[in-house]
Amino acid sequence: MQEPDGHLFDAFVITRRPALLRTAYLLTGHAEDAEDLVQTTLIKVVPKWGRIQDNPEPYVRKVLAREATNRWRTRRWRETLVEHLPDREGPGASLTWSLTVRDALLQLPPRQRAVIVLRYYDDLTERETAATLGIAIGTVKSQTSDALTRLRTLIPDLSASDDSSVASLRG
Amino acid sequence: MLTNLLEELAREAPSDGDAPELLWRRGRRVARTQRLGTIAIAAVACVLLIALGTATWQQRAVDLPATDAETGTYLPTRFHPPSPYLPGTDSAGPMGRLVATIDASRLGWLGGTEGLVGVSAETGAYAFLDLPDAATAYLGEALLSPDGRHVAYWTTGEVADPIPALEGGTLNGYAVYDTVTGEVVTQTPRTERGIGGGTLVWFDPIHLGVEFGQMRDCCMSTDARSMIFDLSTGQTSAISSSLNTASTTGVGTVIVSGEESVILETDGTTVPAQIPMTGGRINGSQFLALTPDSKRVAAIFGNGIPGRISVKNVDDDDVGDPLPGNYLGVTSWLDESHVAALRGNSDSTDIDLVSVDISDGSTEVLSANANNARFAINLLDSPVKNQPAPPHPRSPWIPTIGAAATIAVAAWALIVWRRRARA
Repeated sequence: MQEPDGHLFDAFVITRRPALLRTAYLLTGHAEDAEDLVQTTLIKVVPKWGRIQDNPEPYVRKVLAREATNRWRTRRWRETLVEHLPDREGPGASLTWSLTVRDALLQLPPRQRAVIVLRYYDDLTERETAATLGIAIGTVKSQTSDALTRLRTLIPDLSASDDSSVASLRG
Repeated sequence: MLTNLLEELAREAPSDGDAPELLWRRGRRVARTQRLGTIAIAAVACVLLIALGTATWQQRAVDLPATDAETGTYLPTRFHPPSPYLPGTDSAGPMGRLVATIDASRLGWLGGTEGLVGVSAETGAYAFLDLPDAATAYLGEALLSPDGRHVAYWTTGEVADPIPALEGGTLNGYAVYDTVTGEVVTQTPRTERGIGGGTLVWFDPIHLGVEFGQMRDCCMSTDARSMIFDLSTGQTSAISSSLNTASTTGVGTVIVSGEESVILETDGTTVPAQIPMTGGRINGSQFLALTPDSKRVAAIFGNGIPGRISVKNVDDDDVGDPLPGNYLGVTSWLDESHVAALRGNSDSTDIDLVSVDISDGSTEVLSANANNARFAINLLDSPVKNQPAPPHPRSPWIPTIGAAATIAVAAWALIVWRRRARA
């Protein structure tokens, strides 16, 4: 029989896991890695659940983001940097566009990737992003700037901020 | 626009995963594993710290073997170079009668100083003597009483008109430390600028001969006075003879050698003696050894040491034939026909304390490696015993750094363990 805390945990997982998986997917670029990251994060927060159950979301997202950046640190031996990403086959323009964005994200260093995802997808402020990643606000600013510069290089149409550019990019 | 692109990409994220109940159970299991690992690592660290502390404590502890009730005192077969990190009598307690003291450097957490190590006559234990107000620069002149019960030494302290930056500090008197009770009797004579040019010599176990002058400037003392301090009454009585080159019998008489040699009693009476120039002395030896009946002396006569020992009567000019062998000095008479002397070891640079038979010059080693030792001369006829070597504690920084390293490694192991347990 499960403890009362466990029921609250179950409810949180059921309701919030899809959102966590979306963030994790942006952070990792792979479905399997996203599932693994979210699963690890959820297991990791269980010992602390008694203390965070009233408002678990900020802590869980903090663990998720830090796990994503720390994982890269411990698993970098498995990754190989390449000058050009291999061509991918895509049946449609939408998928091609998604692959372009994903590959561009994957070319960012993990911390820059995390800053971009937290700032532009999770809509966190610079202060919240800094607290989530455990870094200084100044670092968030510089990492954001560097990441955007890099993304504009990798996705040239991103430089144009009007919707038509986006539309053309999306095909 | 970037937000829109990210939202579009996020739609490709997976949506399923393990059942929440399964995640909860795995999370609980990870928590248990983390706790167990934490406890195990902490336990190992504690055991290591306790082992480190125990080893350190055992190293610093003075082993006090049971005293032999029959004779009580022994002469060790060899002396050992004392560790500079030996404990002091402030922590180890009074040592009991000493067979010898050894000049040695003493080190601690933040530096070192000169020190005086006592060697127990009963147990063979070693410890630094914590002598209150001792002038450490003059510890080399500290003198063990003939029976090993007291140590006389010069004290430092404030005077009315101190000489600035005086090398070795300002001497303001002398003191006698009781090796059995730890009590100290201090004598602080009247002085304006401090005392200097001093000599300490024990007449017997309770009469201490003291000579000192008054400091005038950095390098000179004048008005040298000699006196005898009676330990049993605490009284001092002035004497007319200089004690500068005095040697003691240990039983109430000293002989002052020089141009006008005299034999001096504790009541101040003097008897002239015929003593040629001696070769000097080193640590642990005397200028000459006077028999308890004050009839004969043994010494290395002539210029310098090492040299050959001769025996002569104090009241005539004849010097007997020198005994064979070279010696560094004489210490005392052991009996009517044996003299304790110091001899360089032929196999090393060490100095041995030997018994010399004055009838034929034959020798027997009493204690090896007696470098820098000064003896309780009345105990030199004690049985020779192979006493245990003293502990040799190392720097206190070593266990401290070891403990810090253990804690650091334990902390690192905890972090690694907790990360692994989550994976």
